[in-house]
Amino acid sequence: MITKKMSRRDFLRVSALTAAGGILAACGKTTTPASQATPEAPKADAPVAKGQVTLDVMAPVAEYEGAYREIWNVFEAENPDIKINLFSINEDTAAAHEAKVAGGYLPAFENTQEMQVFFNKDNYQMAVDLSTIGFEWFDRWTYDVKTAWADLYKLPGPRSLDIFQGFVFTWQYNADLMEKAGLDPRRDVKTWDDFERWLDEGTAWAKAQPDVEYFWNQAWHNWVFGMCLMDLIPLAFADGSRERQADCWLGKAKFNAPDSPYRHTYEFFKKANERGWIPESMWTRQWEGDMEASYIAGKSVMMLHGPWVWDKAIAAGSTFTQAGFPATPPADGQQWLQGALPPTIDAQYFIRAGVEKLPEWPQILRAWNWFFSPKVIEMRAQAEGRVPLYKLDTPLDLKGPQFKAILKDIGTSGGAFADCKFEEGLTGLVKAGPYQKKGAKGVWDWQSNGNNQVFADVLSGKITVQEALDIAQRNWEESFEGLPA
Amino acid sequence: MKKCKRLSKCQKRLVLTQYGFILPQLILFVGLTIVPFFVAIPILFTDMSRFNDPQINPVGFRNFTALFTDPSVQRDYLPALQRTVVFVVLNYSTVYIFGLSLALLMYEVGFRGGFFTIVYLPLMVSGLAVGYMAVMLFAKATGTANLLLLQLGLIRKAFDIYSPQGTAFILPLLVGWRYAGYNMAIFLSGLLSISEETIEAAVVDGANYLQRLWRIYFPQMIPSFIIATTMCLIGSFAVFDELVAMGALYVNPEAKLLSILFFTYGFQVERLALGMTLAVETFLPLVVLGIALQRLQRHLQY
Repeated sequence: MITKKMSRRDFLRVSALTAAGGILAACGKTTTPASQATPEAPKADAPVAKGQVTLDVMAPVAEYEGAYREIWNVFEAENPDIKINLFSINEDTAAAHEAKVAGGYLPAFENTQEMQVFFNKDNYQMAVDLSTIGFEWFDRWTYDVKTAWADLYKLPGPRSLDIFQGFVFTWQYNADLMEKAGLDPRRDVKTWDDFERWLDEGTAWAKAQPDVEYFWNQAWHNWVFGMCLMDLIPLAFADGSRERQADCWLGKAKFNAPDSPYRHTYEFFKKANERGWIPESMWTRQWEGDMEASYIAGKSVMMLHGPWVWDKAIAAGSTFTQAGFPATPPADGQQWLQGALPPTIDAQYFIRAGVEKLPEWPQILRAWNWFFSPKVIEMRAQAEGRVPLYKLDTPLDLKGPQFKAILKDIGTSGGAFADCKFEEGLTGLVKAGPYQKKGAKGVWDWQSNGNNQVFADVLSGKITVQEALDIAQRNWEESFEGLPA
Repeated sequence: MKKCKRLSKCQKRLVLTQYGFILPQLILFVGLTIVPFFVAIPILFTDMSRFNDPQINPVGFRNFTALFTDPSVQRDYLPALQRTVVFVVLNYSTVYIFGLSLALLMYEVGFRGGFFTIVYLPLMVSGLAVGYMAVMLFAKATGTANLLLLQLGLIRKAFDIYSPQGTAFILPLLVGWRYAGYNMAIFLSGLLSISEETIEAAVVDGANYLQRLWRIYFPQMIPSFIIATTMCLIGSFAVFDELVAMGALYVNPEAKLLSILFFTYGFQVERLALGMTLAVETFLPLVVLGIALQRLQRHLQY
C-alpha cells in the first residue's frame, strides 16, 4: 500500500523554491517610465507608428465624457488615421487606474482631476515638460501659462495645462420652490446680514412643507470643503481676503491667530448647524446620493455648489427653473467678492513621462495640439459651461447654465451683480506649494478626509473653533519647511 | 546506518499527482502573495509616495520609527488601532454567538443540508454589498431595521450607523452574520470529532447539558476554537469592503480601521512606503500571535 504523502515540510520547501524563483524573475531589470530621469524632447529617429493608431485619452470627469466624446468625434473625422478611445475615471476607480499605469499602461494623455495629483517638486518628473514638445498655443492664454508653474517652482515646466477659470462655487437654487417660499435672494440679498436672514426665513418655510426635505441641502465632500469652501467663506469679511489667507500659508500669519481669516469658515458652518440651516450631521451625508439627488428631484431648495449640477439636473430631466447668486455677500460693507479657484497651473491635462517614447508620439502630439486649438477650446468651454482663460478668434456666447444665471453678470455693468467681482488670485495653497514636504498631509488634510473629522468635531461641539484652527496651524508646521521665506 | 528512502515509480507518480493538484493554487499564492511581499521589502526603506513616484529616495529606517516618533502618524494610527481592537473583540464574540450556537443547533437538533446552505449563503455576498445593505437597513429616517426596532420599542432613537456607537455595534454584527456559516462549519467539524462514548458516559453520570458542554464538548473542541480565533483575527484586521460601503473613505471617520488607514496612506495621501511599513509593523505581532495560538493548540489538545 502506498503511504507516501506530501508533508508540511515538503510543501514549505516547494513554496520557498518557487518563491525564490519568482523573486529572481521579478527582480530582473525592467524599465518603467516613472523611474526615468526628466524626459527630453522626442528624438527625430524614434520609430513612427504607421496605419491607423488608437490613442487612449482621459475625459476630465465622468460627467463630461459624453460631451467630450462628441468633441473627439470631430477630431477623428478630420484625422482618419487616429482613433480616440475616450475613457473616464472617478474618485473610486482612480487607484485602480494608477495601479494599471504602474503596471506599464500609458494613455496618450490624462487628467489629474480625479487622481488628486498636483505637480510639485517631488512628482513633476512623472509628466512631460510641455514647453519642449512643440506646443503651438501658449500665447493664447490670458496669462503667461508657459512660465507660471516654472517660475513658482523654479523647475522646468509647465507639466500640465488647464484652459478654464477655476471652479466657482455659488448658491444654486430651485427657483420654483424659492418663489413658493416668497423669497427672492437675487433681489434681496446684498449683505451678509441679508443672507443670514434669508437662510432663517427659507429654513422656517422648508420645515413647514411636507414635500420639501431641506432649504439648504448640504453634504460632505473632502475636496470641496478642503480646496474650495475653506477659502471661499472668509471672502465675505473684510479681514478674510485672499492675501490674508495666503499670509497664513506663507508663514507671515498664523492659522490660529485671533484674527485668522479661516475662523470665519468654521464659525459660519457651526452657526449653520446650530440654527438648523444645514441638515443634521451634515458631515455624514453623501455628496451625490444625499444632496445632489434630493436637489435634482426637486425636494431641496438650494445648495452651495459648482457648475456640475446645473447640467446634471437638466440631463436628469428636472423641470424646475434654476437660479443662483454669488456665494459671499459682504459683511463689513466692503466689495462683494465671488471666489474662484485660481487658474490651475499645477494640475489638469498632462502627458505622462514615457509617452514621448511611444511609436505613436507624432499622432499624440497632433491630438494634443488640436485639443488646445481655438476651435476646440470653444467646444470644450460650451461642453463644461465654464469661462476659458484663452483668447478666442470670435466672441464666445457661453451657454453653460451657471455662467448664464450668475457668472456673466458678475462685474458686468448693468448686470444683476455689477457690484460683485471675481477673486481669482493665487491661493495660499498654490503659493506655498514649493515649500510643502513630500508626503505631508497639508493644512486641511483633505486628501485623507482628515478634515471630515475636524468638521464633525467642531459642529458636534467636541472641539471649539479655536481648537480646529490650532489643528490647522499644527498641520501647517508639520507639512511645510522654509517658511516664512 | 541511514535508511535509503528511494521512492518507487508508483510512489513518485503519486507524489507528482499530489503536487499537480496543488500547483494552480500554489502558483497563485506564491505569485500574488509571497513574491510581491518580498519584492516590496526594499520599498519600505524609501520615501516612495505613490506607485508612479519619479523621485524615490532611501530613508533608512525612518518609516519603521515613524510610528513612535512622528506625531502625525500617531494621530492617524492609534485611533485606527483602537477602533480595530474594539472591532476584533466584538467580532470575536459574534464568532461564538452566531457560529457556535448554530453549530450546536445543527449538531443537537440534526438540521442538515438545506439549513447549512442557508446559513452559509451570506458568505457568498460581497463585503461591499453587505456594507451597503447595512447602510440601507440602518438609514436614520428610512432604514427598515431602525423602523422595526423603533416600532417594537426596543430602541428609543434610531441607530446612526455613522456614529461611533453605531459603527462599533453594527459592523461586528454585520461581519458576524456574514461569516456565521464559515464559523459554524469550523465548530461543527469540532463537534463531529467528539468521541460519542465520552458524551454517553457523561449522560450516564448525570451531567446536564451545560455541564456536558463545559466539561466534555469544549475541551475536545479546543483545536476548533483556536482555528476560529486565528481566522477571526485575520478577518478582523483584513476587513475592508464593508468599511468602504459604510463610508470609511469619505463620510464616516468612525469606520476608519487600520485597513482603511493603509489604503489611505497608499492611494490618497502619497505615503505609500510609510503605509506599507505600518502594515508590516501591524502584521508582525499578529504572526507571533498566530504561532503562539498554534502552539497553544498543541499544548491544550485533549
